[in-house]
Amino acid sequence: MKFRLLINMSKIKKKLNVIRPTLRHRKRYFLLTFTKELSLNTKIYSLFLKNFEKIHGLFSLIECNLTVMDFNFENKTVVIRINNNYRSLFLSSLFFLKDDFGLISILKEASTLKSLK
Amino acid sequence: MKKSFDFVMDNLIENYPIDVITDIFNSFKINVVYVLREIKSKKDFNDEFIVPSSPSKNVIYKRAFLLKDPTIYHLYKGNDLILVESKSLKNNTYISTNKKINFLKDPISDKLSFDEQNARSCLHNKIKVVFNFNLLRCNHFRNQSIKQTLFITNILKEHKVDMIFASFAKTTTDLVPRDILFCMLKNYIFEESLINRVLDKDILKNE
Repeated sequence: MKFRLLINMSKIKKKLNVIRPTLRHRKRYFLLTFTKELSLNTKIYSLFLKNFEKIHGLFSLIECNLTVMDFNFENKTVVIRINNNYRSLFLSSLFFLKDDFGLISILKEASTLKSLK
Repeated sequence: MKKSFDFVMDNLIENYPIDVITDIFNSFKINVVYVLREIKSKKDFNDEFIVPSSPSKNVIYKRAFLLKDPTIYHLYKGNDLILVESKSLKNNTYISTNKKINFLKDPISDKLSFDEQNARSCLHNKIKVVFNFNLLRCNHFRNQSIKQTLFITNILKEHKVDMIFASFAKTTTDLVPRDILFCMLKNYIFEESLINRVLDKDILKNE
């Protein structure tokens, strides 16, 4: 009995198949610059996250997959990755970040991180 | 978008070097900047107001006036652009039924003060309604102004009245790049063609 159960267990799939390219979310990368002097303790990721959630809601935030890829305190630049479908929602959320970041502008926008740099 | 424009207050030009501001406008793809001076009474018309010349060919600065009181409109004899601010239903009705005034600024107040009749009069008298989008970013008054602008823009869209969104910036942080503003206006359920028209300089022409 035990032996049979072991055989059955071995038949169970252990790995997920690779997601087809058509099902994957296409990404969008933004290189942003801002004017406000931020302290080293500032939680950049949560600032973007909370602002997006406040403006567009929790479901959009989860679907959007907002990620801070890189942050430079000296140059005052930040690289952000989002799902391409949520591009306009993300940009409209930047409109309300005046108090946290000062004057925000988009230096570059690309579909890959490599082409952004 | 052919040529983009913005309305800014004279404080911005006075407090920051013109090179710095012009660089910002260049990077934001804003070509024509109207520098507004506030006019509160008849005396203010006599003060000299000269707009500095631009160091860049891509950006042009033009003079304009912002009247706080609609009843002094007839005292101005020049050709500059004049916007008239209104904060009450009485003033909104006065401005929207006036055939000489071209721009009504911010018909928003503590209570809703703009209705369908005002929108119809605006269309009839070819008056454009101008919104200060920095009111939507200010924490103090934000929810109320977003709610009122959503309601008013829907009426204006229905009656095909031209509307304008401008920064009326007093500091550089009040400015917003065109692509961010474009996406923000999508939240107002505007079509892309309408947003392009709202941000295009040609909307200022009197047809």
